[in-house]
Amino acid sequence: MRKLIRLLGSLELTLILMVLVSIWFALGAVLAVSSQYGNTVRLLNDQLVWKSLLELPHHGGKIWSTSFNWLQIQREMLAWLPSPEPTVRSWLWVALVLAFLLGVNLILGTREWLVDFFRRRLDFRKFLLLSMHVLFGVVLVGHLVSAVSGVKAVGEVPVRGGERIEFLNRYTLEVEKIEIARGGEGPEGGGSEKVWMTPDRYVRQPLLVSYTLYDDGRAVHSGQVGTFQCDEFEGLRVNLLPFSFRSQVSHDFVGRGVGPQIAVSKNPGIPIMLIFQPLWILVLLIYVLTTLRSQTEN
Amino acid sequence: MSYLTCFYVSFGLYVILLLLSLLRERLFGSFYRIALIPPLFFNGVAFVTMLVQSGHLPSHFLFERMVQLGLWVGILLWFVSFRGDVRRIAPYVLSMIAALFAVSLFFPKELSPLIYRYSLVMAKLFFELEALSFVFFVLSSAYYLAYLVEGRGLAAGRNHLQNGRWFLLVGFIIFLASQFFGSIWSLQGWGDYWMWGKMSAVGVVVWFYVMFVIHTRYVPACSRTFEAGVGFLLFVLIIAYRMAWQP
Repeated sequence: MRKLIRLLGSLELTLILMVLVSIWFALGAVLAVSSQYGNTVRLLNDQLVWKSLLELPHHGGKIWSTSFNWLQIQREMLAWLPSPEPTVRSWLWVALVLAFLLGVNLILGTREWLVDFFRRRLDFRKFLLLSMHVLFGVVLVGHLVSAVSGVKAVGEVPVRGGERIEFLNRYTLEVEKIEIARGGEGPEGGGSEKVWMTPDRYVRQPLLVSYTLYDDGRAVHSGQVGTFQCDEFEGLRVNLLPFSFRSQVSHDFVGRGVGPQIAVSKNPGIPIMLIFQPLWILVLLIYVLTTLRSQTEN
Repeated sequence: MSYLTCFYVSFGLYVILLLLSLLRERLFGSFYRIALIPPLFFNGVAFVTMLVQSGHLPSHFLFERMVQLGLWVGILLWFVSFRGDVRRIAPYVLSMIAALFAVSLFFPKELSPLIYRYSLVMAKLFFELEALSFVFFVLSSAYYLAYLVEGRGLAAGRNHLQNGRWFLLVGFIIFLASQFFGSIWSLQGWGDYWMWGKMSAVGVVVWFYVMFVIHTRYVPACSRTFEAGVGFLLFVLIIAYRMAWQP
């Protein structure tokens, strides 16, 4: 047992895990840009991570031309590859296992510093080292909290008038009205065509979406959202997700039109990230400055 | 003169300087303080012309970012030359600038359009801090490469390794800050600080790879050469990162 604990807390395992995480996320980036798996990776954003581990969301039926369709042919040609959903879910499971092992390694690897800390035998440099590792652990916990709790629900691509999103078994968000934003929304006030170009150089018109939120059928809040203009109600954040031509125009969405998508989220991990990530960076900075100073003096 | 002409002139001047830098000890002490000015001037003019023509700071196009990165790395080398003798490290830094420019030749040399989501404050902080962190990573990789090529076992080699580590640590802090502002940007636009996609994935790759390089020193099984080798590979990773952002 001691051997196992020593192994799990060893720096050798830390190195192996860090390389594995790098390789695994490099593979994730490849999946995200591939025509076969890219849209399925994108679906991970439509619900909480723990739900994606079990099943990915399905958005309506696919629309194919009955006679001739290049995308259909492309899909037929790539049919020998592993199907997207199991591939992306397997990727996510492995990423989760790596994160878990990293957490265990972090706790076991820093236990001696923790003991020294409580016995007040820790010098300032080691205290900084302990702090930065603990803060990194807290950031990991923040990601875990985000993965398992909160709310994440999205509407159709693109957002449509009268659309309803139900979540938490009691709330319903109903899209009341969609209008073109007339000035004041873009950085230059008017929101010229150039300003509203997407990274894929697709020019679009900025939208403002009005919605009403119902709690058990009772209207509790009405609001309006635009791109990068979110609205909040009792911790629920409503966003109009920025439109991206590249990520949306694909097998699944072509034929239904493209445009922004409305989303509701509530992430209890946000305060953890907002507080502890800057703290981690600060401690790292102090550590570097302290070490540099002591080396200069020596 | 167009930004492209200036880019090619600066590229040529960096290559000439790189060839001259191979003379090493035969160069006088303050050589780089003077010799770096012409390529930096043309690199700077190319960068400023790009800013004026596009109307914004570089965002996601590889060519723009490489011109910016080359300029900042050159300026940092110039500043370092005032603090000490850079004759040993300059060839490696210059070869890296040349490599960055050479890679950019394979990508479209046009300017990215003004994009609303990239013009927001958090996005700008994300992009610019990321660029700054890469400047330190490039310098760090140059020191690691210097160790691999010539420094093993010598006092100069140990210095290379130590300097590589310092630049890596400073770059890492700036990179973490960039990722933090990127998270806030994501929160503002997409409603969450983490979005599954290629951008987040490549960010994690760099993040964990740098942590891997930092930790290698404390594992007895990893030699100094191994540390320097994986440290140098960060340079390759930076180029791959930029390629991932290219639409």
